[in-house]
Amino acid sequence: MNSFFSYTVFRNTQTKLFKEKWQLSMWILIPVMMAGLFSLISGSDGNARPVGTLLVTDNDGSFLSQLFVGSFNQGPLAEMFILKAKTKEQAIKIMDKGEASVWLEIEKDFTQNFLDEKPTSIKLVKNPSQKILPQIAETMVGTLSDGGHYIQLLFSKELKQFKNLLTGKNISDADIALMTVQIKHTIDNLEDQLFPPQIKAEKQVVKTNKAPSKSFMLFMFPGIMFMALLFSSQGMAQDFWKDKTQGIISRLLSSPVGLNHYMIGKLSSSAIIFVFIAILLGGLGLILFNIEIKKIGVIILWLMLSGLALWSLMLFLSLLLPTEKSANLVTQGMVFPLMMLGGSFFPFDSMPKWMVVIGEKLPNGYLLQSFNSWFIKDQALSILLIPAITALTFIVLMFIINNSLFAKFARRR
Amino acid sequence: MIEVKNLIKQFAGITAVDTISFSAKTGEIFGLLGPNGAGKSTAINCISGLLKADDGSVEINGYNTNSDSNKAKSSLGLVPQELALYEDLSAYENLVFWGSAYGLSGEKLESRIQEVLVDVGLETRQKEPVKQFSGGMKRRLNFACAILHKPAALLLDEPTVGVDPQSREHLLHATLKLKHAGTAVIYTTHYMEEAERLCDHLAIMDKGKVIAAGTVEQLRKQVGERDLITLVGNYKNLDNKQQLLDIGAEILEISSEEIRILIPEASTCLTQVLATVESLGQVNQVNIQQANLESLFIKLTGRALRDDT
Repeated sequence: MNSFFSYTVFRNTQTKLFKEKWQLSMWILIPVMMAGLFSLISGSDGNARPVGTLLVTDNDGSFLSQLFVGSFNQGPLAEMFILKAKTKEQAIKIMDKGEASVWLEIEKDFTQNFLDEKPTSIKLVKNPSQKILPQIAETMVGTLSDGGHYIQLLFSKELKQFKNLLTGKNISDADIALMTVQIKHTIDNLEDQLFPPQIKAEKQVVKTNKAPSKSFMLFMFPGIMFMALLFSSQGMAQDFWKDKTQGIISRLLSSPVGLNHYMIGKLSSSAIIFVFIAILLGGLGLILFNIEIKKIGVIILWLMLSGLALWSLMLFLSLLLPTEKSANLVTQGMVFPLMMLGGSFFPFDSMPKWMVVIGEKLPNGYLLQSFNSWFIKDQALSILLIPAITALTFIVLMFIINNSLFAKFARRR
Repeated sequence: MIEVKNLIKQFAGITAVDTISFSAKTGEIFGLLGPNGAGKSTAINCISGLLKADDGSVEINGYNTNSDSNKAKSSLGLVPQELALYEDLSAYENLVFWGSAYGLSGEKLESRIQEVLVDVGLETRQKEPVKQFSGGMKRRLNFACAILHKPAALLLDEPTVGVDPQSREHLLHATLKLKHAGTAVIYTTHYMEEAERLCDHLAIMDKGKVIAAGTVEQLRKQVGERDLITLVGNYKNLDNKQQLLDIGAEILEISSEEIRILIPEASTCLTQVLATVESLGQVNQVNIQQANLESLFIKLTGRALRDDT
């Protein structure tokens, strides 16, 4: 008799839930949308690439000044800065509007002063509302200045000859050959100081079976699934209050069926919803990240187990609180800190250490971190055994506690 | 049969139900009559198990609700004052749910669902979501959910509050049908017309206590063959009230704004009554009612049945 009642509770809960299609969709769509946004912000490999505008006013227009500016167009810096040549007036206007990250102004006799070993200057104006890119530009300018200074110290004689070359004075082939030999000798003499072989490194290539590096989205994927679990467990725990306000739970007290059978029906219904979410998200993972199909079974089981643990926690809070509104506020208020600390917003690897310490102790954080050990770090499936036993124990314990709270909840006026 | 003995229920030191006793026999409707806040619903909630009584005992169909809780509950149907229905589900789905709570399943459940749907006139609307129903239809479905398992005893807590005449008639008819089928019914209401029409025995409750009990006839006799006259006006000389007693009136209530008296054959002595009352002040409005349960309630409490206080 009671099993049929539990089945009826299960079926009614499912029917109600699938009638509220928007609610069900949101539990899955919000995490997926958030992950998509993270992906757009971070790039497909997860490495953030800020891009800024570098204004250059080259009053010298010499070979050396162009060489200097050209260094911002090399390697990774080229991906960070878009170089724009501007006059002083134009650059001032743009900087005043805050539309560029950095402005570099090279003085008129930059090359001449450098070759004459006279002081020369490069003006660097930073946009105060930005931090990273102006700092990078400043460091780069500093490094180039230092480099220029050492070149002056080491090759002053050669620079003078080089100056004559630039100023069009007639230099014989023998002088050019001599200048080349002098530079080589200077470098040879300084080799021990410039490149001291303090540590002899031997390069070895070790063959490993390690899989190719994983994308940022794949790192985010378990967090997304847990985000969906948090939303859905909160929503389903709140369903107890909906039933109470509709008079169902109070009236059940006058029937011979035990309230624990109602709880069993709700628990089973929640388990199926978690499986449903796991299948949907697992399918998405299968398409987007080529997750191995053999992993899907474990993903479904793990999400069901984790979902039930989170549902038990949310239900515990809902039953304790005195009104539907307060229960809704508190449980909803808990979802976001749990997501942020528990590794759903940011992968644990990118979180500060103190945050990871807290996050790993939260139920969702603990279960997610355990899952990641197997799913991301490719550890053996047995790594999930102890967390699974812990989760099961938690669910059983919470079922007993919630069952006892439920009787009081049902009688509450 | 439902037997209630010395039932007590307190909330934060306030006694909502104060040592009440009554019984409803098989095939009998027992009415609990009283204004809002009299303690009727609290008594019903204690009998049905929704609230735990502080003292006293309740037996349903011979089963004590404390020692034989499950058997007692299996014999009982409850129509609570507040609806207990899944609004998003259909009438049929709600009936399946409540039937399963009382151990019904399979063909038995299916046939009972169709029977009760006919009883409450909702057989053609069974697949529609409850949220599309009118208030009266919801009340009828609420009633149907309680009688699915053919209970030996039924508690009806103000089942007709806020319903349309059609739904009200359906509910009263269905209640009488159950009575004739041998169900013991406890029916709470503050509509005296319903109580007079349905109930074999009545208890009038006020402030948690039963202040009068008996059959409708016995209670009417307490008022006597007298009519209730209500005279609204502006009275200044209330010291002259002795004149009213001298003409054979029983004063139920007297204030500067309203006088209520019981008097035999009001139509023949109305002129005399008016002349007497005018000596107390100005009469603006006169209302004459035949003696009924309302008159008895006013006689016992000095207040009207539908007062909210």
